[in-house]
Amino acid sequence: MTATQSEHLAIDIQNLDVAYMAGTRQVNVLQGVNLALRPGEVLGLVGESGSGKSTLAGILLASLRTSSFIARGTVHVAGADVFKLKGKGLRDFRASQVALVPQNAGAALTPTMRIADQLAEAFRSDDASTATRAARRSRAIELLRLVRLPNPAAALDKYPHQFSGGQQQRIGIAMALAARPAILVLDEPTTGLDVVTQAAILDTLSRLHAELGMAMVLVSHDLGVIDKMCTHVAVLRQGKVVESGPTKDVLAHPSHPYTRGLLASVPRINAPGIPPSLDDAVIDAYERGETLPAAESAVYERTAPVGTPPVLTVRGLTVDYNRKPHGAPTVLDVDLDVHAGEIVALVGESGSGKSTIANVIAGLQGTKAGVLTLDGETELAATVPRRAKAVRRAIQIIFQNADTSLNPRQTVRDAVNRPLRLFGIRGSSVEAALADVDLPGSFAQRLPGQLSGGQRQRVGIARAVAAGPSLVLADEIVSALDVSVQSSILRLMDRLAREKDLGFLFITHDLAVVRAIADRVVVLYLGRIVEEGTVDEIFGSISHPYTRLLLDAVIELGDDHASAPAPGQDEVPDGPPEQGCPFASRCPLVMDVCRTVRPPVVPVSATHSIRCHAPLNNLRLDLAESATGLV
Amino acid sequence: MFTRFVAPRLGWAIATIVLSTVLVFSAMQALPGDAATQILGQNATPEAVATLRRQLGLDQAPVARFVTWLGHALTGNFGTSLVSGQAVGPEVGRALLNTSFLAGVTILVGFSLAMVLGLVAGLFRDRWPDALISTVALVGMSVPEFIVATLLVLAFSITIPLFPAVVVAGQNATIGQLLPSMPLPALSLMFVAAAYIIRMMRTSVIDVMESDFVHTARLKGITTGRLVIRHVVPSAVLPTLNVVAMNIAWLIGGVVVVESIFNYPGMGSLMIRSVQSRDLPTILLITVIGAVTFVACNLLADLAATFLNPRLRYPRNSK
Ligand SMILES: Nc1ncnc2c1ncn2[C@@H]1O[C@H](COP(=O)(O)OP(=O)(O)OP(=O)(O)O)[C@@H](O)[C@H]1O
Ligand code: SF4
Ligand SMILES: [Mg+2]
Repeated sequence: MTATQSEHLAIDIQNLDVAYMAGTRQVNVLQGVNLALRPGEVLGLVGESGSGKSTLAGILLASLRTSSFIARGTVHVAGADVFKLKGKGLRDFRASQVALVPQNAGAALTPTMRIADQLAEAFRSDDASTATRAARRSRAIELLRLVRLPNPAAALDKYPHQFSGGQQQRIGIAMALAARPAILVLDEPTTGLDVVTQAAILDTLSRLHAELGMAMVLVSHDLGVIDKMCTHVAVLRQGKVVESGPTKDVLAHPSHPYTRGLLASVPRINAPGIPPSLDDAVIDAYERGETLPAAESAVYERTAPVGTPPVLTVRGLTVDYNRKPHGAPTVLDVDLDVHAGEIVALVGESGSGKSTIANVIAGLQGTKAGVLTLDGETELAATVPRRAKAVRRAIQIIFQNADTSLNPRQTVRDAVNRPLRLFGIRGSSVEAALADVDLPGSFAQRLPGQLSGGQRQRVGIARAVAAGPSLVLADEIVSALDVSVQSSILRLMDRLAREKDLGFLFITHDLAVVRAIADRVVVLYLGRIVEEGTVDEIFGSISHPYTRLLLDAVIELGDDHASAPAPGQDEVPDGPPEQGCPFASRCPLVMDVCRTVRPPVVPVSATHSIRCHAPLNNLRLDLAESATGLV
Repeated sequence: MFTRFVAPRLGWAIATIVLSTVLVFSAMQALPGDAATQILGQNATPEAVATLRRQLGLDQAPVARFVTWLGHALTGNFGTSLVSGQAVGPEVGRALLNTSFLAGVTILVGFSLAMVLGLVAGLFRDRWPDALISTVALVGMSVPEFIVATLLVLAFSITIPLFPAVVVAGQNATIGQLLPSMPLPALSLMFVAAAYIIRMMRTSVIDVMESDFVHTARLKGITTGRLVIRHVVPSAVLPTLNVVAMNIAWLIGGVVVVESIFNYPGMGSLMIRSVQSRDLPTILLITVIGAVTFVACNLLADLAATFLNPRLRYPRNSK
């Protein structure tokens, strides 16, 4: 492509290699990347963790990790050869042509500066419309309104920590738009946000793109998000673009086995079962020009156990974090059962009290009221020190973040051996425990740093299962994993539940994962149960308005129906109300009675119940749509 | 505000002050001899010592004496010097003024310089300005102040006779008379105290430079000056403040050594003289002043941290 052609392109990357030196060896982070994007197009960069997505996104702003360098190739963005830019030229380029919306706006906004100042900084110095202080203020308000931040004028004088995660992300987007850039780069703009917030932010982004028409590059590991947002997609694997083209073509007719594998491994809320995981051997063979038969490619459907005894019974659990006597308790009146061999999912947005409940069961958090019973007979003492050894052994917890819950200086053997020694378990070994989670015995010698994310999570599971528990608390254990690794961990959970009759309390905010693995589901909102039922019932046609909001917000691959929440519906209040229905402030069906009277438990079937004042008929999917006008 | 912020700290402050006087009082009891034996010298008859003791009130039980002193002190009466017979206030006051001046110069010049040096070291991490500043700081931390003082005297008053080696103006010198001999004591104090501040500031600047928000701000295309002043410094100063407060408190101790080396007529010299003469009222007043300074510095650091940190100034739920 000639220089004149690249002037017409928003982005033109040719034969790009990015590398860093490991000793004297050059390691390529990106290899032979070619990409072109015309003005107004939206390019999705998709791939697994470590595939080079963020590196590629950074390059568009002439930003590299300190030890990395361009080994080969050229990068033109908005007509400029970005790595030839220096000093003032580079600053001007960043200040006017291209802007970044960082992954975690909470950390990316300067904590000691007011929003107004941070926005004002991003205005172009040559922009006459922002010459005076008053003009800058009104333009800042205009920007915050554009991204639908509630009460923009008041927001200007606040500091970042005074906003919720979703609001911070909106401010991050407003800041990126401030310079009217020709190209907007978004690195995982909604990862880590709740589904409803994600839907609202993506909707805002689509609208902004339609109005302002800039080119966008969106980095995401979520194929559903890419499908919804992008005109074009580039699939990255190990630093190479393995496939690229118009999104609809690539997703409908993927030519590379990696793309096919990625697509197949995404769990869906509209279809039950655990999807197959990627088979790296097949893909590597394809890259070498050979063909191997694909291994397992079928979706695996789990069957719920029938008539097994309860391992955990929770009745009337109430937790109150309030220091003062007034104020509604954080968790109120929660009843919960987990049976042997059963996987029960606890779902809800952030702040709904999921982890608090897990901590109470684990004995790490005191309660205000409630009775917890183990195996139908032993009443659980409130705190760990007061629990008998046998009880502590029976309840094991696996944490969200395998990276931080394993001691980096301790070998896998030490980590897994600890419960074996602690509980004096005979007739088992570290090797057997590792075999239980499909890891070879040789892994015992390794340190956590020498394991991948999925392997680390397996070690975490091995450690919990080695104790021989009857109940495992799994707090967001697959949230940080790539989808294909996710399905292999889900399969592992299923097998352990069946083979060892383990009861799992599985905590997550990801509804597609719930659909794939759970037998029963408990939906929590602001520490109150709003609905519970079997997995098919929860994803069926009668739902609590909150569950409906969550389901509608999920962005599914190949599904154009995902609806954005109405303005304001993505904002979770700071705490539960003292009376009435917790969901009243966001509910499209809200009635007067909802604000004062606690909703009754309405049975839909023997296993399905909903806590809501609205007649069940209004909660049916078909009717609810016309009643709320949400779609 | 009061119950959450001020009240607990106030209680802690009063406890610190009272406790330190108790400690110093007990320590003085443990030393051999008292004011009477020190005043009368070795050849005094036991009768003369006993008489003087009675006159000075030293014949009463230590606990009773401390309680009496505490009662008077609470009304602002710190007693008379056992040596001069004058009220302790004016003499200690004069010394306090001199010391405050020395400490003030050290804090203003030295600490701000230290913050700037720490900032520079952090910004030029692992390049020559950092290497230079960090080495100096390391030396400052590992060498005791009396050696620093001695070396400074060797360099700037003996080898190159720029400043006087000791203060000759005497006990009743005015600030104006003290001024020419100020640089060396001030430099000795600065050198040692600044080292910790430089190290802390450097570490915290490096942390902040690697944060997401600095990366984002840089990608906005703002100038480096603006980046440093608006985005880096406010966050980097916060963790350094406590070290600064600790160092101010530490200055109280360092001052004693440095003042006596340079014969500077401040609280440190007065303290040493009073300990030699067992002049308890003077010592106790100096203790009170030292403790109050210590407490006040910590309180100020907390207040400054609150003022600089929006998270503390505007809790999440405030409207
Ligand atoms: N300078 C460097 N030194 C060492 N490793 C590097 C360097 N630059 C990149 N890498 C490695 O290159 C790979 C690609 O990094 P990059 O951050 O672009 O991945 P990503 O696709 O954004 O991953 P994620 O989805 O986890 O954010 C990673 O394994 C990263 O650790
Ligand atoms: S009780 Fe009322 S507010 Fe609550 S979910 Fe039902 S209709 Fe909505
Ligand atoms: Mg990334």
